[in-house]
Amino acid sequence: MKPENQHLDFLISQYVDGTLEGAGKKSVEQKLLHDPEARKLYADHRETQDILDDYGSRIPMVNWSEFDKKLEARLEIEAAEKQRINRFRRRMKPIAVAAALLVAVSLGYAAHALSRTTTMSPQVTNSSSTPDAPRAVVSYPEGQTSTKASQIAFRIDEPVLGQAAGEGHVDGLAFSAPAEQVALQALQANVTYGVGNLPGDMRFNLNLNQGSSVGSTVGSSATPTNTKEDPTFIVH
Amino acid sequence: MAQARALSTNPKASSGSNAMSQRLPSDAQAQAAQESAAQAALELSLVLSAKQGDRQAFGKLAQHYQRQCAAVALRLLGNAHDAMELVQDALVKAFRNLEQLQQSERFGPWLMRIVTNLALNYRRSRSRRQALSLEQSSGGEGDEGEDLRATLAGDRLDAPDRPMTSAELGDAIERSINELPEKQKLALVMFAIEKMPQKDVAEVLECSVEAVKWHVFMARKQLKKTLASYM
Repeated sequence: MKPENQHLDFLISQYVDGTLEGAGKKSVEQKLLHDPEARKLYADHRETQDILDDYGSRIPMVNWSEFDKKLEARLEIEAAEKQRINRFRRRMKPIAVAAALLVAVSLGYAAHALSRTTTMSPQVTNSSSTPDAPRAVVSYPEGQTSTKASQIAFRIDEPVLGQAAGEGHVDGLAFSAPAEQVALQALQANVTYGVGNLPGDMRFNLNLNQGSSVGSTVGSSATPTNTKEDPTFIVH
Repeated sequence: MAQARALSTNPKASSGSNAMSQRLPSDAQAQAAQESAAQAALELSLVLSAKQGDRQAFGKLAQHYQRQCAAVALRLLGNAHDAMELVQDALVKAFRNLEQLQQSERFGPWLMRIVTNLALNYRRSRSRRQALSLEQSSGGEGDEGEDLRATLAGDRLDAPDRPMTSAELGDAIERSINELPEKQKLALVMFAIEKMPQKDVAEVLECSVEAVKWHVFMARKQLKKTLASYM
């Protein structure tokens, strides 16, 4: 079938359905008057639709009364179930609101605490204010050779931290490293980097407050206090 | 049976003997439009009441639509018992989910979408079950399974040597409709057979009115080909 004929066929299909209006309808009626091909297409659609109409009119008898009764019974069960769910929802509503409030308050508190700890910049407390307070020991593993701050690992001695946490105050940091292998500058840089990246609770335990950086504190006052083999740097 | 009534929702349902006639607009249509508007307003109030839990209001809506739903379900399933069960399920589902109906004035198409979805799902699961049982029956029973398969596939349609009875033609039409692509099948059943408005059909199929026209056109062409030997 040519494309223009398919278009005409589609228009005739709509004409048979009674859904064609205006100019389209007039043009189809003109075609039907003068074009035998159009009349053939119309006859085909009409014939098929007549068969469908006939098919649509052949329908089984249904006992609607029984259908209605059965439906009514099912709807009654459904309505009871709906009511039960609604009652449950009504009862649960205050609990749900309370739970939501609790979660919101907890999240708010957590966010507040987190923002306080993350905005702190590290500072070591002045040892002169509390001369007898414990010191956290920063130690370096054996065989440390690099002088690059980012490559030097250090460890803060946990028992000391625990003790410090118990007392709520640490009087500075003590560094332990072989003097020949780790330069003082690298120590300073590493502590600046490392303490800056300490978890919030550790910094809290170390009593690090906002203010000057660790690097400058270490650089200005760290001095070896032990033997050459095992020097300890005290931060003041 | 005194209480038994026909399924028809089709006011036309004519044999179509007047060859060149079609549904022409007339003055009576203005009155029909007014009645339709009043009906729509009544239906809207019923839907709103039903949404607030009025079961009687929903019952009235169900009574209004159940014949149309049953007719469409019957055309899609080909079995009156299954169709009636399906309509019950669809109405209960509609009652359960009535709050989800956003446009209260479009209850009819919404309900019909539930019916067609359930019917298509039912058909799919029935096909799977049939395929499974054919597999089982063909295993070790020689040609019996093959014969049954051929019968179900509708090979009788190929060469009828005697005049068809009305029931046979009905079966042939049903099989031809079932072979159509899904959207064409639904468009044909809802619009060309059950005379639902094209706008409603478009809503059920989630497509444009033009697409509905095209689906009906294509479906009727295909049906004409399939049923050529009976025409």
